Amino acid sequence: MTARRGWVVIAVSTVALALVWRVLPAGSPPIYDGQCIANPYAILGGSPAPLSATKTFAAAGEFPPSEVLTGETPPQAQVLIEAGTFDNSTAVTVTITPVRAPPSKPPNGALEGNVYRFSAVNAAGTELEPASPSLAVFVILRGLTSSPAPTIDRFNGTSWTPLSTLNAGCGNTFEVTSTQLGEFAAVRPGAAGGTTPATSGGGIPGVAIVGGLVVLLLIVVAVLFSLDRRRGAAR
Amino acid sequence: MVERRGALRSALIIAGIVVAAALRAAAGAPDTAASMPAGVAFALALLVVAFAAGWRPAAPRAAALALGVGGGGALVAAWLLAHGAAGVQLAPLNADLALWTPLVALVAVAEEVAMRGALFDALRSWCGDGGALFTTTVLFAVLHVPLYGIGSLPLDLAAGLLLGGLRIVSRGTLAPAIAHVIADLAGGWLL
Repeated sequence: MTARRGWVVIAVSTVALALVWRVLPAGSPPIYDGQCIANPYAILGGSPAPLSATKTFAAAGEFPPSEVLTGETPPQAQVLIEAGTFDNSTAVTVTITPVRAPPSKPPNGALEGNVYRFSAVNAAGTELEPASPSLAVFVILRGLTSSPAPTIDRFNGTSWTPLSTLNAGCGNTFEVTSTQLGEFAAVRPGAAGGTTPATSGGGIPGVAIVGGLVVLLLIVVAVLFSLDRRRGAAR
Repeated sequence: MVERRGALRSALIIAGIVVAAALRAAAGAPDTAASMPAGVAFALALLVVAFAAGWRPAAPRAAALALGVGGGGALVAAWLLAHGAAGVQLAPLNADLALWTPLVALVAVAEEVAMRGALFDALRSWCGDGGALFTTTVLFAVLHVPLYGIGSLPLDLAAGLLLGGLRIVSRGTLAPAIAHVIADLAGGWLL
């Protein structure tokens, strides 16, 4: 392929990048890759305590695309909101608060980490919900582990409902779209009931797996070395 | 015969890259993306695979350096244009960031050396630049899914294509490596 075609590839990929970024949710971080910085999970009632987040949006013609996130690294709870999601004829305050787990247990497993309440209120203190089902909010919660991957459930005041959950990357974070605010928590799949305690995470489980992979890697490297030497000798 | 050897070499390099990624996942569990020792092990494994496959660094050229900086700028600018640069700030320097920065640079360089260095060369000798571009772009995107979720696939495909384009134009690994480092560091340095 000539350098000219390489430039065409660069041009096409730059346009593709711009388009992909356009359709990603508002507030997505500029992350292509890289090592993630993740502090230990802060559990409600422990030390350090988990953080809350509040952001007030002044009255405007249209609610702006925005994000609200708690201050941990990475945030333990965040919400991404599209333009026009809330009636912004008066000021709107969006709040994320860690709350005690309700007595009701999720049907699909055990609560993992904290329960977070997501709310939006107008200047009169009236609770707001997204203006239409097409204007869902993106709720992102940090779990304690990615394996098994937790589900994010929503609590409607009576019972928990599992939502379709996607891996959002750094620090065991997971994402759902929801047409309603309310209380959300990560749920570890398995036996229903109970709360999974926070663990420090990290460590190297399955030494045998790691050892096996190292042996496999050494075999691949040895064969590659041998091929390269033969190639060098043939030149 | 030459084609068969190229195919075998390509397959072995891909196997080495996949094993390195699996090693990272196993060693870094339960939070692979946050495990620094696993990140170092991954980078070293990739470099060893590339070296074993015959990859050697070439003398740096100013044109490749400039191309890499431009490519990195394009990767960051695509995000800034879509979301507005007004609210973007530089992250405050702290111990986490000071440790994170060289590690991220090491992982990015190692990925480029293995994928758009050793693997690209092996594939090109077997199935040309087009095949090499396609395979390295898809592999690059798929390898990031376990870390960042299926949602990262379109973004990493587009980013991988850009890095492959830089590899073809510059005829070396320096330009994509610099662009990759700039884009990844922006993830930590820009808030």
